[in-house]
Amino acid sequence: MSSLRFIFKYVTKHKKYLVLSITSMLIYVSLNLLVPLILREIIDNAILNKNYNYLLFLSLSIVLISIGSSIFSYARRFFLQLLGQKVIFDVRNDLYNHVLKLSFSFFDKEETGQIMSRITMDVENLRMLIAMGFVMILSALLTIGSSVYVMFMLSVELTLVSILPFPLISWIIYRFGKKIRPMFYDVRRKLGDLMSTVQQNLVGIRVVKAFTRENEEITKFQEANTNYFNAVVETAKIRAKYLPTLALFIGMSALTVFWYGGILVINGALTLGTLVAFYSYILLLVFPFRFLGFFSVFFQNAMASADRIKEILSAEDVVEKDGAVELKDVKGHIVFDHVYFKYGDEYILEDVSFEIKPGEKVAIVGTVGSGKSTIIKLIPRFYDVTKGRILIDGIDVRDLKLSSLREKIGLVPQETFLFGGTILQNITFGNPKATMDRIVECAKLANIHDFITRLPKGYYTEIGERGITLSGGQKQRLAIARALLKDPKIVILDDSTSSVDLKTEHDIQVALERALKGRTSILITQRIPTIKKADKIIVIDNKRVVGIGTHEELYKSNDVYRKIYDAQLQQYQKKIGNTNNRRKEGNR
Amino acid sequence: MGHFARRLVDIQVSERKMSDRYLLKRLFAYILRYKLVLIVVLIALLASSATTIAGPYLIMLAIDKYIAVGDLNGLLFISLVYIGVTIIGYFASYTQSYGLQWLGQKVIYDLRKDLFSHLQRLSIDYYDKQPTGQIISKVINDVNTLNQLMISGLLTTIGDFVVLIGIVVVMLSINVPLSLIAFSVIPLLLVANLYFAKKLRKLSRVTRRTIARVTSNVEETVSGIEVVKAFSKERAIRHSFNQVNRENLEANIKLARTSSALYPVIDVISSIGTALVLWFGGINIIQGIITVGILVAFFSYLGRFYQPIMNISLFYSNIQSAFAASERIFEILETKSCIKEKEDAIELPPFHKEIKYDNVTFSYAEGQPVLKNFTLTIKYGEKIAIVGKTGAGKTTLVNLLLRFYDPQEGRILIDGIDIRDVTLKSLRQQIGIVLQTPFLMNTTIMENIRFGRPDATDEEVIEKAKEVGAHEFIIKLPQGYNTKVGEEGKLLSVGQKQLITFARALLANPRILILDEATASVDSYTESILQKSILKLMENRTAIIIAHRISTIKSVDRIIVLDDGKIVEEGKHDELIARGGIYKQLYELQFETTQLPTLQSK
Repeated sequence: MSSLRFIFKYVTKHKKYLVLSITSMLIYVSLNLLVPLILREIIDNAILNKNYNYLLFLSLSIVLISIGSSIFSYARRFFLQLLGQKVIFDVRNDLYNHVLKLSFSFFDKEETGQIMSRITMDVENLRMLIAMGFVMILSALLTIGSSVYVMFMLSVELTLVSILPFPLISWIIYRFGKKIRPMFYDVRRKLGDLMSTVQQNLVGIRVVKAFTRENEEITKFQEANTNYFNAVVETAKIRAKYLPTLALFIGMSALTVFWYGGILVINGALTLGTLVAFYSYILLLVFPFRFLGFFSVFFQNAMASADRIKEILSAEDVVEKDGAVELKDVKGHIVFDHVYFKYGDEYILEDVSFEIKPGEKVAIVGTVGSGKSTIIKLIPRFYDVTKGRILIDGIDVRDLKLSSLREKIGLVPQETFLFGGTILQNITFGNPKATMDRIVECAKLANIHDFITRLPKGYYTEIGERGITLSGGQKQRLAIARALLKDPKIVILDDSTSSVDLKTEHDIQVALERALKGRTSILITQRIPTIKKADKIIVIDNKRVVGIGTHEELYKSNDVYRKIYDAQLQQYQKKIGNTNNRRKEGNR
Repeated sequence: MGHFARRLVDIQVSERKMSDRYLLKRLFAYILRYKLVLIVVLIALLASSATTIAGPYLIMLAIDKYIAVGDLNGLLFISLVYIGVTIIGYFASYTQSYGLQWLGQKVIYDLRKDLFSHLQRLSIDYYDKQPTGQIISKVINDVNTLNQLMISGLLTTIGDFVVLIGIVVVMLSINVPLSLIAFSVIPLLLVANLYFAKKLRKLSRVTRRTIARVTSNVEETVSGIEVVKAFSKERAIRHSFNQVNRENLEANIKLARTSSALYPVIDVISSIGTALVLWFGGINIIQGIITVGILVAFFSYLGRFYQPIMNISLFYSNIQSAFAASERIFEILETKSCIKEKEDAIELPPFHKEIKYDNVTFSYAEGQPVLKNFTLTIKYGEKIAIVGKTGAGKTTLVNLLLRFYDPQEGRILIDGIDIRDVTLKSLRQQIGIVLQTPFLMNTTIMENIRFGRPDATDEEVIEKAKEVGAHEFIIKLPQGYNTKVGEEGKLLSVGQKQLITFARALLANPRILILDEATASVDSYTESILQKSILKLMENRTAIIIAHRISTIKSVDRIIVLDDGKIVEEGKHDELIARGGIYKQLYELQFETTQLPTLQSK
């Protein structure tokens, strides 16, 4: 029910359209009820009394009523559509704005497709409920109620006889809704299975082909395909019964009207016109009854969608304080003060404290899963600390304006994301007004300028979807150029899983050394030379800081560091290959 | 950002290349596979249409023949006939509705099956060009659109025609002048319908475009959220989203303004028809030309008369998106695979002598050859490494050997047999490959390893996992081998995934093993475990390693150095170092970046 309240919150923002459309609907329904009565007048009065003028008047009045009811029918439809569209415009905007504010824990859990489908499909379901569902149900109930009322006015006896099948019809509608709802869910789930089967297959198509598993994959797909087919056919069976059953009972109702009503007419207890009017009212009820059966599915669908939308809107976001201050003339002094960070139920970081002085180059070292990447994500407030605080130039990051904080930080993330468009557009993402000279300067710093100029269209080369046409190393260097264009005082680089070849690794290495001069930099890396050249190394193990110092200091005193370093060293020694040098030189 | 969105829009609303007739012909081929069902549906359709038409006729008889003359028995009789007709109608419309759904779903089922099977057969170059998301949307969404509009729309429209013709015939047979009066508004109705159809088609095309912009805008934002936030671009992109969202709102309001008018206008026109019939009919009754029953029958026929006309005239524009969807589907089905098995392809006998690249020239895009007159022989049992810069052609060598692509010139021979003369299965079964980014299916670890050889027993799977050193971590997982690895294996670490792909390759027991720098993306500790597994994996096999790190390859029999699609050096590590060429440069490059000053000083 709170989902319903959620929807109403949006609807009431545009009350006026709701009021207008409901009013139009009431007039529309009442006008429609007049037509059978006119038919009765024609048969009983105009024709019987041979009153030509009255006949013409009645016939014309049908057209006039129709024009009137059409105007209100138009108003009803249009205002409803307007209401639906306005509401989903608001919901989409709210969703989008909220998504932008969300903390990263949300994106870690949700797949892109899921978020997308909420902003598009689920919102559309809401619109359907508002633009069609709500008022249709109202209109259906109203039509049924008022028709029956008018019928009672015409003849109590005949009404009682003709509404005999109604309880049965209600029961059918109820049963149908109850039966079909879980089936629709089943169909949707099976469709989801089918979709993920296809997706898995296509994403891994090279593996499938390399292992010649095409036939097995087809079998697997056929299984999902068959399951979906069966589920749909199950609903088809029920649906195929529903409308004919309704038609059957309404037919029975029409029949009783004619049989019993016929007897009444013969006995002189009823006029023929009234009988015909009754018959028309019964026909008027066909559509509302049809609609009622599907409404519960409709409704449940929209409610489920509303739930999914609410899930996003209620997800935790990173909030800017009211009196947040601007971060000006940043020097790049960073302090972690007893920082704890909890993710789900589990602590990822416990009691992390360290200080980074302006202009220092710091390497963070630790095993996989030790919490390294989390540390750097806390600085630009991608997540908020659970306990403790992080200070930049002495100010708690939570007291800063988010945009001013992030503007000062140049981030090169673990996985490079490039947008569609040209290389130029990607480099200038953070600073669209940058001059060409400055752009080239940054590209040169990032060691990517030469590559770009070699491309036929240079900086105006279009990047394929998700940067497919560039290699991993090229993408990473573009990301470095993009970060440098902001001229950030603080540079954060997550390089823990770079998979590039020798030449590229060298290129990136060169790029970094040039680029980081004069900036505070924090690097997560495995490259021994980078680690050794760092002013300070922070060693993370099992959620905690276990050592801070230079390479020489740590190698002597810190077991964890020695282990990590030795493992890395071993790799490099293998590469260097000179067994004579197999000595632990750091041990001096 | 805008570029991507615009391109997406272009794809979605571009003009069609295949004619409506051609598409209908291909679709009907699918429907006609179930002729019997189709016939049953059509018969049921005729029957249910007939019962629809019979209702008012019976009421007319009841009024004129029995009620008017006070014949109670006759009234009872006609009521019983009415019951009979209603019951027949019940069964007929049930059969029609169910048959129609079944038929539609069956066609969808077949189409999906054909699509998927065809996709499995298409060569890799197709996947290079098409984003995965688009292919998925074709298999799922387009096929569904087709069902909703084409199958049910098409057959329902046929039903509408039948009802319409039936009503016209019955009306004419009851009373010609009154019928002509009733039909007089049809031209007006058609004009109105066609006007709306044209206008709505145009307007809804705009809304499709605007919603596509909303969608692609959201997609880019969500995929690139980290960058968006890091650069604090929220305000700018919020502004651009608000704009596309508003454009979508406005386009939809425009559409609503017109679409809301459709039914009311049709209602007014049909009420004119009704009024004319009542007026003219009423005069006729007064003059004793027709009976009240006829008027009542006409009145109820008119209620069922306008709806089919409207459906039919809107049909063409309603099915436009179905046509577009079916074109996208048949486009896939008509895409030819670049790699085709020959009719008389033979089984490749077990590899035992040599692999030979014989004067191979290959390019992905015309005019940019990746390999030029490339010749290389690899002996059975040899372990070679291929080294070179990005883009030197390393991965291409592997793609060609697996026949993911065919070379434009030259040939590749295995034991003297051109690989284009053998079946793909017999070729690929002899080659095991471990890719740079380990790919796992969303199922259990057991099934993922078994992917290498589907008939392997659980014991065999576990044995292989032990051999590559994956067993230890697997049994530590809460559900052991039955642990689900999640979508693309995201619940495991990269190193764990890699170990599983090793076990998978080992289980397949290929004669030729290809390692595409399988150890690049793990930390050094994991790498040392993987190294051991790799050695295990290479035992007693011909191995080709695409190497990015020198450490992996020092122990191989031969190192091939590629540059610009040509072999520039080859030999053992020490020889190549001694030669002082590109390899030495590459080696030193790494040496330089990784060298330890302290080591050097001693």
